[in-house]
Amino acid sequence: MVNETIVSTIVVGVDGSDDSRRAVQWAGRLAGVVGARVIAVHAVGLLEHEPGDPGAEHLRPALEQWTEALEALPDDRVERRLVAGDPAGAVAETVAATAADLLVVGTRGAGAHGAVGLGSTSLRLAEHCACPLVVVPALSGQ
Amino acid sequence: MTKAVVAGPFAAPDHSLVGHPERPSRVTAAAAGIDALGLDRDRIDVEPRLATVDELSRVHDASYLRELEAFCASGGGRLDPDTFAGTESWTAARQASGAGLAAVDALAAGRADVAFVIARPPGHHALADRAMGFCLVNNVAVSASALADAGERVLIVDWDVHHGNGTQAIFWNDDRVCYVSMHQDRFYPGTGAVDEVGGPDALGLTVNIPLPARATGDLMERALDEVVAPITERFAPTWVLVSAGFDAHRDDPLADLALSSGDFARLATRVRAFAPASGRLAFFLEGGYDLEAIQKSVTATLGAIVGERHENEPATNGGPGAEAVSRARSVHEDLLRHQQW
Repeated sequence: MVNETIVSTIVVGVDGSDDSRRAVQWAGRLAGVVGARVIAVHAVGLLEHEPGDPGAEHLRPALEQWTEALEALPDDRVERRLVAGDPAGAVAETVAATAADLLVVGTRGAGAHGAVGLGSTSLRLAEHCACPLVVVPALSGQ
Repeated sequence: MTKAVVAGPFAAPDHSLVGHPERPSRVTAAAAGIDALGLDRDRIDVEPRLATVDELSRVHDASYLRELEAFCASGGGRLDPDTFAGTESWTAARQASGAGLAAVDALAAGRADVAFVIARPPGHHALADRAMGFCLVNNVAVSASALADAGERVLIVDWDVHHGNGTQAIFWNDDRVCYVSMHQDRFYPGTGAVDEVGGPDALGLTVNIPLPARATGDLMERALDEVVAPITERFAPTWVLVSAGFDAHRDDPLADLALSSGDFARLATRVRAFAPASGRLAFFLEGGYDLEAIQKSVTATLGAIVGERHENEPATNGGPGAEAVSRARSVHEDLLRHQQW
């Protein structure tokens, strides 16, 4: 059972894919109901680097756009983070650092593929994450 | 005269993705860097061979290797947002690891004083159970593990600008291998903090020196002198393997450190001093994505070892990061007082 006493911090993984946007929407709706804060995390990969921007702040506008579903929440309950690393590592690190109560991710991110054992971020998180995990399914037919 | 084994060049032209920076021309550039030394009779070329599954299984899960082979056979695709594999990538990965094994074999046979492995895909991000960060199989770890299983004590020095999370994880609790990384702080892959020092059976044998953006070569030299040298003296390696990425060069498009090719020459000289004897030092190409920087830096690195005269970019100094080196020194001085390995 989910209520405000056990879900105060929700982390959601963000990569700009359609699946990730649905995860953000789901996390935002839940946060609105239970009064939780949401921390949206984008893992900054090797290919996203721009010289002279070690913190990858050039991605900030995109992150804002990918998480626009969170605009319905009060500003003080939304945080957007850019974390260097692979998606599973960056999200798990954020869960640990924030003592999050719930993690929300999409089924397949922008870089994922069909080989279950090799690249499934959601499965990897299910195995290693320190809090309950919600995997928001893709729309039927995708 | 110093003789060099060159394993490769193995450019793996069929392992490529249009527009991706980890591309075959990186190897071509590295090979040109070695050619520029004009080693002639002091150069021994060895053909890469295919590493066997048993050799790869020393550091990788058998299930991962099976999945990777099957994934490639089925046409491949993206393994993560950064990493790709295609039909020929399984063979390419085995060949890149086999190049390292062939180089080590040649040194062990007394054929040369130093080896340089010019092959791709790179390896140091590859974990036991997954590909990551352009890497499919951990080449340096495969060679280090083969040596360790033969009773050797292996020092791995990783000067790629990105932390070698895969190599660190593989040898985290292995007291036969000391892993040292100097890399850009708060950067991909997000690991490599100074307080990551190894597991309970190998405490202090993982050494991380994260440096801030714009750090210069003098900081890495200082780190080798002040942090790594005392550990090496205690650890007494019988082999030294270098994860030689050249993306810490100031011209590299994927990072923000500020080294020159001349710095890599100075680092190579210092690392050579950690080897117990001639013929126990091998360089493995890791990252580096500016072709001219790769070429110049490879020339400088191997040139410093073989003593060939060549003109390098001046060494760099004055960048930020002195406190990071001091912090790493403090952490490992404390550990050294209590560890005997």
